[in-house]
Amino acid sequence: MNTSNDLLEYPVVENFSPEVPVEIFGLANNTKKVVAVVDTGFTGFLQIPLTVGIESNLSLWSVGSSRLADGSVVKNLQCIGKIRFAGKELIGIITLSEKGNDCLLGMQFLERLKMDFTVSPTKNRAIFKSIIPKDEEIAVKVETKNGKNEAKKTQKQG
Amino acid sequence: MEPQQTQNIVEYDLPGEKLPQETNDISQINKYGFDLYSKNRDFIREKVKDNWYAVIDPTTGKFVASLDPLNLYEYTKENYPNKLFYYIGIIKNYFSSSFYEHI
Repeated sequence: MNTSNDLLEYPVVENFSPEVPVEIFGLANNTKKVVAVVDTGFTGFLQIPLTVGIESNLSLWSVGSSRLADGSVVKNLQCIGKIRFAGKELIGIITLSEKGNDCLLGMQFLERLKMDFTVSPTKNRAIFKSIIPKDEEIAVKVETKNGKNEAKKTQKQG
Repeated sequence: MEPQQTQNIVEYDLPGEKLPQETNDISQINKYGFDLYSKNRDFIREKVKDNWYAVIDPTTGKFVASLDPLNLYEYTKENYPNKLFYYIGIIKNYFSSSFYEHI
């Protein structure tokens, strides 16, 4: 794994699954380390097998249902949970799956992480890159300032 | 269905058939929760902002939503202890009512 504050790189495994290590925090602040696949087709935060959820001592909160890629609908359980990835701690809804052994990180995770995510099949790397909003903020401020100045000038001319 | 608003929480009492008694039966919670959600889908879409998390208590018809999932969790645990909620997901008015695509 290649890491810096703004850039994280992980090797992509044979079937092009971008797998990353995460820690799940339970109620007793005990942690469970798992390897999760980043799945951009999953719109949730984190999905883990039910057994992992029990081992992590997560507190059951709600139930729901979701439609899988094959069109079938499955019932599942949800917990609130905290995970640590690359030094960041993120809180979200963790779905417990009764079927399958995979841990999946979805789009809510990426949204909360505030990092861009790309997979390079040529380099066999999954790459997380920090989103740096500073330039955008400066651009907005300049634009606003200019806009106000122009508005004042227009008023004076009028 | 007058709203109660407390620190970024919205609450509504949804009309519709309620779960007769408390249960841990996931199928029953899903069934009654989804029915309440379906019958009030338009109301929920109209009243709740995008990207808010939402749950329903199928025994009382109480709908609770918040932008922050932890805030929603702590609020429901404090005010409605020992309940198992029906999780709607995230409200998305422009696309669907939730990231779960309910039938």
